[in-house]
Amino acid sequence: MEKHWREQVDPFFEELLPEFERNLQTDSARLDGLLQSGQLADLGRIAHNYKGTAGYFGLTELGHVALNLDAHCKAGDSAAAAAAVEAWLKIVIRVGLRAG
Amino acid sequence: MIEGKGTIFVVDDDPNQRMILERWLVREGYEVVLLESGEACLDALSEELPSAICLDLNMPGFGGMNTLEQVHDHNPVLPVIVLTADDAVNSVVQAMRLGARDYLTKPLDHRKLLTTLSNAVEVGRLAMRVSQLEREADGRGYPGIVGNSAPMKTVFRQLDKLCVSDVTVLIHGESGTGKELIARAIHTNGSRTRGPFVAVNLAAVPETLMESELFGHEKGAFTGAVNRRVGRFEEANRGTLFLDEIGELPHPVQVKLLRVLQERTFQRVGGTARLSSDFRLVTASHRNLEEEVRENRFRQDLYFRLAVFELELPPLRQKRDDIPVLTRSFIRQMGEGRVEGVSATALERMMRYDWPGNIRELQNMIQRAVVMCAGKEIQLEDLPERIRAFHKPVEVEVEPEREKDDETTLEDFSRKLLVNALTKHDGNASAAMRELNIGRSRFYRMLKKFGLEGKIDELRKEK
Repeated sequence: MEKHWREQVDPFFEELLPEFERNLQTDSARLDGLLQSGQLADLGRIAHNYKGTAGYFGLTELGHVALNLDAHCKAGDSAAAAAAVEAWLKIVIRVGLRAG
Repeated sequence: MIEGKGTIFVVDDDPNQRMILERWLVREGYEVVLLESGEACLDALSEELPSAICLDLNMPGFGGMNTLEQVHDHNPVLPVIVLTADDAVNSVVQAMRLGARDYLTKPLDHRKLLTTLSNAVEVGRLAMRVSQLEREADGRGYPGIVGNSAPMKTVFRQLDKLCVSDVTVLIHGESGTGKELIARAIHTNGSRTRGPFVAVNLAAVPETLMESELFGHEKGAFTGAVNRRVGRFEEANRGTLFLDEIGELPHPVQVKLLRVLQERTFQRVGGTARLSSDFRLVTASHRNLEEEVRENRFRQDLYFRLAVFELELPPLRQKRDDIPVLTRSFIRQMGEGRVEGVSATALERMMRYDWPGNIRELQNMIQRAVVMCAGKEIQLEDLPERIRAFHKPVEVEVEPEREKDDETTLEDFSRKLLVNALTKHDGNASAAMRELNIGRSRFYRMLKKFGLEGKIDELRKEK
């Protein structure tokens, strides 16, 4: 589904893609650290933002994972949050972000 | 201010969301100001009045709800569209109660956003117009400010916008053009109308007493300070402080005023406690302050702080069309029911005269003519000799020539300041902003206006 995700991006947003990828890379790199240090509020904030924007860039699956991660963080469920972070990172590795 | 489709403040801590909204709105022809927090939004509102605000509810720090409340405290008619990633009923209801115009759930639907925004901008414009008509109907309006000429119509349009915002205003105008009347109108018709209007003519305050006048003093602070005195900044708390003839401010006091504007706190002379005051600042000058900055007589950073919105009051010779209506208005006030008008010959001579003392000179002249007048109409012989003898032919004012020059000079000047600040700091935008003492949004709008967007990268590469 996400195989050709860049091709699925609305042409209107193509120019914004490099910046989106840079932001996603930076934010994804922070997820595990926040999880390990128990900063669920900050982790939830990142998830909260991506659940609203990932879909615009063809990453609908990431949007769903972000939605779940946000909910787990709000519920204080670290174990479920850890699973969602893992799912998130797998998506990011799979889609292959371009280095900024 | 508001031109074309209008300026939209986009307030969201998510950089991706800001980027997407900017893309959509710019394509639709809106000017967009991107802000990453509620604090930045409130800061930007003190510099500019947008047509609408797209506000994310869920932000760290000050938060969307508090921001919404503050925005509406200062400007109840400014439309705010709340953006939220979850349509939690409680948040939405609370936001609507706090005055949100509408709410949209993320991921945002492009078409719905544009329709909602377009409606909000239109409703905001109408609300502003209604609030202006209400002001006129309940007798607030702009009393004493009379005129139908094109330059005065521009002034009234600017006043309408200034009265629904809280921005700092700098009024330019020759002596006698009614600068204090305008400052008073901004206060009376704005959200601070229940607070005090404190006016200080700085030209009339001796230099040695200036600090004490503005900031107050403690008992024993200097010889003659037998009691504690509250300064004008404290007096103006929750109201408007009008500093007339700001160009006369001595250099050491300029430094102190700048600090007050930056920190909103100050100390009384001889005191140690830091006091704060919530005031709107309106200043005026008959001097050309850009010229004063160029000549190093006025601080550039202070000028930028004061000139957030500049309002130009035209001299009477540039709005001769207003002379009949002003004359009628003054006769109504001063004619004592005995004098009802002015003869065509007298009026024709008044229209030719240059009025170096502007409206104040006209007012004084009418007062004198009413005394001299034996009948119901002021006649040519009731006018002072300088006006009767004035034979300059009536000209169609070719104001653009000189004004255009001034405008060009001002733009060139502002551009030069920007380039100098950027060059001095090797393209470091934050350092340049600090040097110029202006906010981020204003800085980037100026870069865009002067086509200097590439300057930062260029200077960094050179470095």
